[in-house]
Amino acid sequence: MEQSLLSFISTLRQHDVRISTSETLDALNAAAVVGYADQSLLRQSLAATLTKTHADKERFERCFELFFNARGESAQSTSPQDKSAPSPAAGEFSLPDAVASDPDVAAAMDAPLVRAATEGRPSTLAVAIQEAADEMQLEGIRFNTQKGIYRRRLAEAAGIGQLDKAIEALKAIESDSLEGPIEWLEQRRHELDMAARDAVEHQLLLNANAAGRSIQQQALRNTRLSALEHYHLKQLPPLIRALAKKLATRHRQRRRIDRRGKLDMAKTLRRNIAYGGVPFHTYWKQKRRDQPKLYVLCDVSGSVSTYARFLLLFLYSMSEVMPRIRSFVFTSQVFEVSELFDRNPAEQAVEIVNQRWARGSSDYGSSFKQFADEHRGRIDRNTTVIILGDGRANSADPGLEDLRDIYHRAKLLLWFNPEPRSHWNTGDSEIRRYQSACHYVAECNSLAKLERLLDRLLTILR
Amino acid sequence: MQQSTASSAVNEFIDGFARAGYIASEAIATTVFLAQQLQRPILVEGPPGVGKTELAKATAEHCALPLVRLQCYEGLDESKALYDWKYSKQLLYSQVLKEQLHDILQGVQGLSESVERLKSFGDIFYSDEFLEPRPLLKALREPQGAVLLIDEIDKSDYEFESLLLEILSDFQVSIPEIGTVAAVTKPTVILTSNNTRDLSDALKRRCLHLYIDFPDRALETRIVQSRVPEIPAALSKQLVGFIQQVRELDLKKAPAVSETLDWARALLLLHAGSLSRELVESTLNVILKFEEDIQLVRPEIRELLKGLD
Repeated sequence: MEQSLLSFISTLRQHDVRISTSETLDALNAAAVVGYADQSLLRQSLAATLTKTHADKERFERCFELFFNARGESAQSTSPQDKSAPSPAAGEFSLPDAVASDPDVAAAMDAPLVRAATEGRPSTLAVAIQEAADEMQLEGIRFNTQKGIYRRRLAEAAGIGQLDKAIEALKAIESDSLEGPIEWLEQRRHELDMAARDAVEHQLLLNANAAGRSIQQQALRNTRLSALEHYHLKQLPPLIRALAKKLATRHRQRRRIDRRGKLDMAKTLRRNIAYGGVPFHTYWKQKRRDQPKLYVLCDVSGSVSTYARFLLLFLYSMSEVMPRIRSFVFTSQVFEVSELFDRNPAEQAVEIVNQRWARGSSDYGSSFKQFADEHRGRIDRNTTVIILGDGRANSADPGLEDLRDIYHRAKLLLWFNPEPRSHWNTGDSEIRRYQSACHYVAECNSLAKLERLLDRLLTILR
Repeated sequence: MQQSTASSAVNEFIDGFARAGYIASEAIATTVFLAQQLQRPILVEGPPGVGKTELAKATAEHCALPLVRLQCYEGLDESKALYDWKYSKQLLYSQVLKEQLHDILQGVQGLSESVERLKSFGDIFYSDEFLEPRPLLKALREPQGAVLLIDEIDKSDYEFESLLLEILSDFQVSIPEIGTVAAVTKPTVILTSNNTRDLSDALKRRCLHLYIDFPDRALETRIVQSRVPEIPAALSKQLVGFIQQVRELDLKKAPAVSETLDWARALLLLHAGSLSRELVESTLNVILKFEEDIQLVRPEIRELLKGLD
């Protein structure tokens, strides 16, 4: 039973329920305490130990239903009380003594599975399937195309070969009186085969959705943003939001104790007992938020239009979860969109930005000049500036001087380039020159890369 | 056999909670039972007012253990949650003892000898005598064990969560000056959260998780009848039905169980026999706490009452 509990847990994991080893141990202990007989008690115990959010709980209920009910049915039909229940084509199995004493037949009949079947324990077949499934790790099945091979392997592992041998041995004797027993054995063989098929299909049903989805998401994350088809667009926002939220939680702002605010009497006295209560060292109660400032400039001109949408979506999600971001878009002029993002839902905000500003070709020179003039005073050692753009200045002034000015003032100036590295410095790309005025220029054209970059960035910012 | 003892233990919890005035679902009782068996804390989540805090009180009453409560808020730190030194007492003693110092050191020659002499008195200032236990330490020191309620953990800072980890997994705290204090009897720990922020995975991993949602109609009727037994059965059925429907509307704050009970008591005071439109309209502010919500529900009252029949 522990084995099925473990494979149940791995099924849950495939359905995006995060379960750690210690939770697995808890679940095993809980199951040991409440026992396996009362299903609702077991379900509630497992739910309490394995799931830690409300959403997980719903997934849990679904999986539990699928997983244990199918097993439960087969387990029930194997319980000894059901032996009397009439199973189709059951009936007694008997061989004439003369045949039974034939050495070949006797050997074949002595195989454990055949013996179990002939001695009137049909339930053994189902048990054999279940055991074989656990042993061969049937839960590894992922795709419809694997069905055939898993079914065959499962049937073999359960011992279908033993039945085949018995049938062959009987057929070799060629006697009319054996037709009945042969047919009986073939019936059992068929039942075993069907049971294997059911088990495989059931497991596939349990796995398919989860596996399909996680593979698709994996693929989405690694696909070049520009190459994504239109029908994928719908799936991206939740993915991006999850990513931004993950980053924000991991890099939550710290507070630090500062030498301001109210005197912490208790602490001051306590720490100064050694000096007879004379306050040599003072301690303060006030906590100050230690907040990094983040400015993000996103190019929305024609040349990056395919990426801009995703960059904007990401920018939007970031500003949702990190309060101190100021977001800007630019083509030939810089526009702040922080407020727009605050007021509008994601899709709509991106749409508005695209309609209002995403026109014409980029002019980095005038954009950087404007940005530097307007925000120079606010950029300090606590500020990080990120520029999202391809660095194609259309042979105009790249605005390097202004960028360098920002570079000197800011803690970090980063450039995320959506173009593949092989395209850099070709044509009108000025990215090499920009490299001299940036702390770091990175290639960033898939969500996976974006996540890695930002994760590292946020670690540095702390 | 093992299973029958488990389910009977769960039923015992349900009965015990009922005696304490808390109508628990099977899921709730199972989780509390497991928590005591596995010695794990319970993290209770759910909308406000579904009886998360009440669960801790009922558990304490049923198990006849003292309830130690720690209310979390932003800025809560170890000196308020765990322990503190009685610094003024320490200070006072150090002044008083200064005069004793002369007697103690009588006949001692040289500095090293006096240090030696003082050493033999041990570390008196950082001992139990001067330790002020706060709720967490208090719960660990209860000889019979206790029910420790850590209320609204989501209101506390991120750092405080980390502080709790040692207590939640090993039922012990480390005090630098003294050492590790382990629980005399492991307490039953119940944490509640309104989900205003995500708790860390490390914390969640250590806890059993229990989600308490608004009760269904039958359960809520039982709760009303147990807490406000004077109310006529017909009226309680009506008012629970009404509340259940109101919860379906898009409200800023859906009425919680505690508001249902308040309303039941209010209607009882008004000697109401059944719900009428005027009565509901005049007492709507008992169950709804936002003006917008009241505006939204008021025109619907007639429809909602019709839905009761």
